[in-house]
Amino acid sequence: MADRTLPGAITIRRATSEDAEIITQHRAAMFDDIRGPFPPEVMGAMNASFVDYVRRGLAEGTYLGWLACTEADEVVGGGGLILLEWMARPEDVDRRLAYIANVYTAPAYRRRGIARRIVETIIDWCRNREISFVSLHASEFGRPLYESLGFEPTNEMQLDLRQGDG
Amino acid sequence: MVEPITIRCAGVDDVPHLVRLRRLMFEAMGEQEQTALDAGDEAAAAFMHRAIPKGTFRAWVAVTPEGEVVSTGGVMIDQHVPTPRGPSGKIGYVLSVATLPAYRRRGLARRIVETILEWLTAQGIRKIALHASEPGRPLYESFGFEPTNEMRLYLDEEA
Repeated sequence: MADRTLPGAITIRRATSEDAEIITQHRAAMFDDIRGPFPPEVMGAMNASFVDYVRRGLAEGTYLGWLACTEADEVVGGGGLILLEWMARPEDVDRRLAYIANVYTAPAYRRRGIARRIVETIIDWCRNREISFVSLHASEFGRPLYESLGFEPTNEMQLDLRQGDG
Repeated sequence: MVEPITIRCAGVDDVPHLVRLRRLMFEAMGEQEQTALDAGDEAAAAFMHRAIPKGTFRAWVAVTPEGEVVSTGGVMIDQHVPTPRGPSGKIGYVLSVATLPAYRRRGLARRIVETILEWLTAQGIRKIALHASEPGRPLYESFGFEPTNEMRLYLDEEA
């Protein structure tokens, strides 16, 4: 069921576990666009892990997906949301953190505001569910979109102990 | 000279200490609203009582020979989205690293973070995230932590 109509008769619908394969393809394409190409064995290992993760998450409601579809029901973009347990902080005692992932639009459908509509849909969903904040990791391509929606950089730091392992 | 302060894994009996130092951390970061701090303490204690026995939150405390807890640090393992370089999707999230003012500049937070990193490595978790306060940043940089491209939108602070 379409909840939004976009220019060019593209609609946004919620993903089901049957969409796990296309979401996995989007995720792989997103990583290749951002900092790829990755060696096939590296991408293959992620895809194998991710497809199970997302199929289970969609079925159990721990991963929520939205997809942009053409009239021919071709999926041309999408975005996902995961809910993480978060220790209470003074400013948000019993709320949850939601994490946006896999925002992707197929190259032929870019510059039409599809990603913006996807992210706005996700934010609306969060707003209606007492989520106190949403976070994401922004690529250089995505940053202007997120800034325009009010997202701000954080003081997050990460350490990847695999670095240097080759 | 032997460092008389020892590091040990925290149990539920340590929750009051963990909460006390966590509050100190937020106060040091500028939170002054007492009711917000009180509510945060209560919720953090409830979380720790639930998560320590379940193993979803693990903490360490630095203890003087007299048994006083003077420094703390904890970690949660988040099931995140699998990535090309991290196909399990598991991330160790480090939090509540705090030291009593009288015990700072002795490397206690460093020893606790080292302990956390060793434990995560033994669990096969190689990706670690945290949010660093300004005073904490140099410590984390010395371990190789780097700033990320994380962005956040707060939904309940909007006009």
